[in-house]
Amino acid sequence: MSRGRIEGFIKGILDGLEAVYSEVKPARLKVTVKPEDMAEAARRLLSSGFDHLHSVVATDFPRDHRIEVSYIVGSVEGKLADEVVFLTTSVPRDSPELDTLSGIWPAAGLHEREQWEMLGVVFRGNDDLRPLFLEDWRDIPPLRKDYVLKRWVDEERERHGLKVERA
Amino acid sequence: MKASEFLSGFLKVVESGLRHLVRKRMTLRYPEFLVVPAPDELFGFKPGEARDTNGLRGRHLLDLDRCTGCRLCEITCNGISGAITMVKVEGQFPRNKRGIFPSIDYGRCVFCGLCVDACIFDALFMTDREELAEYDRAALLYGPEEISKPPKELPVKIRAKRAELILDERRGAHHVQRKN
Amino acid sequence: MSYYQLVPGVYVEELPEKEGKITVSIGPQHPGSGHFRLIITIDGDVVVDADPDPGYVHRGEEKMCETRDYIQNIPHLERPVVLDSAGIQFPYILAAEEILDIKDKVPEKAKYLRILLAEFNRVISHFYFLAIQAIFLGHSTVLEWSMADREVLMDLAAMLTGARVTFAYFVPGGVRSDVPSGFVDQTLKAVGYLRSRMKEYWRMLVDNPFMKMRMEGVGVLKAKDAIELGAVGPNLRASGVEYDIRKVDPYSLYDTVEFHVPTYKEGDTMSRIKIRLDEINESLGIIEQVVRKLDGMRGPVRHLVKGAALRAKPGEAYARTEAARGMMSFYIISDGGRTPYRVKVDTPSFRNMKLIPVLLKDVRVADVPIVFWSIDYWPVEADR
Repeated sequence: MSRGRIEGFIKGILDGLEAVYSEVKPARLKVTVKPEDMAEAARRLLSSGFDHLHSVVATDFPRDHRIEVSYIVGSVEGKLADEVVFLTTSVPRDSPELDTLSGIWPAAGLHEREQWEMLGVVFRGNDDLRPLFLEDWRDIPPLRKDYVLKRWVDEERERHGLKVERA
Repeated sequence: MKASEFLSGFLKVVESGLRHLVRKRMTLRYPEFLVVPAPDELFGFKPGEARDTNGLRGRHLLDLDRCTGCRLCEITCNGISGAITMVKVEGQFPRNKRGIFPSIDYGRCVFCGLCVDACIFDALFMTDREELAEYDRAALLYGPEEISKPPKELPVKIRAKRAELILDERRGAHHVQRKN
Repeated sequence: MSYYQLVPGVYVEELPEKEGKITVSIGPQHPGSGHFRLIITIDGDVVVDADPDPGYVHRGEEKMCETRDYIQNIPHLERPVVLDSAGIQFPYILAAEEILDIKDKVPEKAKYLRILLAEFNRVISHFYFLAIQAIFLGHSTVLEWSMADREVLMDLAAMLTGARVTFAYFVPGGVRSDVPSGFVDQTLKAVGYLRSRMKEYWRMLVDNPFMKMRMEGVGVLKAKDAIELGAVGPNLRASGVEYDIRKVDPYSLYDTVEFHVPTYKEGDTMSRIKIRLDEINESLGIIEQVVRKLDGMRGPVRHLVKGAALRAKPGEAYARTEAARGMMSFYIISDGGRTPYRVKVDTPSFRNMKLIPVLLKDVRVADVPIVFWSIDYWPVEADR
């Protein structure tokens, strides 16, 4: 489907919801809605054929004081199989909370668990928010922009008795 | 499963296995033999054609006369493995007034060869020498003088003879010694 | 969770005890592919609950991406699955080309060379899968065969790229080196050789009555569950869903080569083996077609990008491809800097991790290794 046609199609599905449409190269559609509209938009996308959740992505934008959360969905059915749609919303950075969509796309549970761990976004209603990759993590979530990788490297080197080379 | 089906399947498996007794052996006596699949060319970057030559990516070879000490290889490697650091070499180098050349730590190098791509002066290459084992980590740090010489022949006892892979549908893949 | 000392200095958490059931921690060990732990609850001989515990090989690839430029990111992004290094690198390169705005400048020859190496990797990776599946079944013959037959393609890949495993061959703008002399002939021979071998694998693994007894009807995944849980790749297709990115959303020049997407309806362990055998056959077909197209093709293989051209405009790009284990995708956000602002690496194994609890339920303990491995879960890829 071309960019124009998929945009028309999605606009038809999300009729009545406040949404902003933008583009992710190459010609993928990104739909930004309000946090409280996420569940409704997700339900409509699922019922119109977007049945395969590809991923959940959270991105930290400290300058705008927000964390952007995108649900990337596709479809395994014939007509929409070449499409990928980004269902996006923004949550405030100091209290990032969002309702889980794992009731709509069961695959979302694991992806939300990862984003919770890496960016500290709390998905309300997801009872599986346990540490996934990191063990005994007490610092700020590592994929936040104010987490400095270099500092961690230097600390680890010091802990293992290695010389910190950088000045 | 019927008994006849079971028996025929089982016999076919045994037949397949037995047929491998007459196939050629695919393994190779390493280190007496070494497969060198690529043509005998040094891995290097050709800026004019925007491509690398086909060679194995092993130990580096540095041309001291061409290196200008521009640090491009060091800058590239810093984000990859941090194996390259520039060191000063005593002597007169007309193209390299400061006399700084890359030294490579093979304890860190990942042999991606992107430093060779970064070199726009045609000074850095890679040879097909992969055997770099040492008893000491410090011995893996190669200075500019070391990487400017071609790799030494391995000791006679384990000298690698070059082998070539022969693909034969009937007798199986196997190796033979290369003529040249 | 409370911890107790197993040996001095080594803490292990106390596993919850459920009525009449025992909770067992398998690992963290190296089940053929990378460190990983599986916590299973068993009732007698049957697994009632399984909980995967990844993270032992977490590298923080996504954070690493934010400190490196688009070229420096290449070597570390192919390390999650070194067997499939070209396959998992592919979407990164496509997304990086989108964001650097050089998509139209990639030469045709480079696109074919990318397909060629990606298919090499698919075959190499599937052979490794067969080897480990065979040894988990106690079938060491196939372990040795497939480990040996992988070498054929790895030697050819070394001839093309200069490295046996981690190629670092794809770069934004094309590929790094051209086809060496004699490569086309050798590849065609290799395809012929491997084709003749596939019959033997089929005989040893699929028609073998003992393998049938072990694997048929074990670890069944229904199509509906597979879609809901977000399964990808051969595991999804073994359950009867025909979803292959190469076919449904062709990238590079996959729409100019002919192949078909094998599917099976059963969704059991055996069908997940059959589908990989079929995919090797299809990949060999693609390799043959691509090599014939490359024979005599002239022209550049790389559009050189350097200096200021490596600075991306602000924007977002997304690319997905079919790697050996399934759909691999990259989502890159750029803020106009030298390095990406955010890179999301989505790997097939991470998506398939959801399948482990579902598949292992009601499976006997003795069958846990074969069912676990049949989804080709690669811990390093899942952890990134």
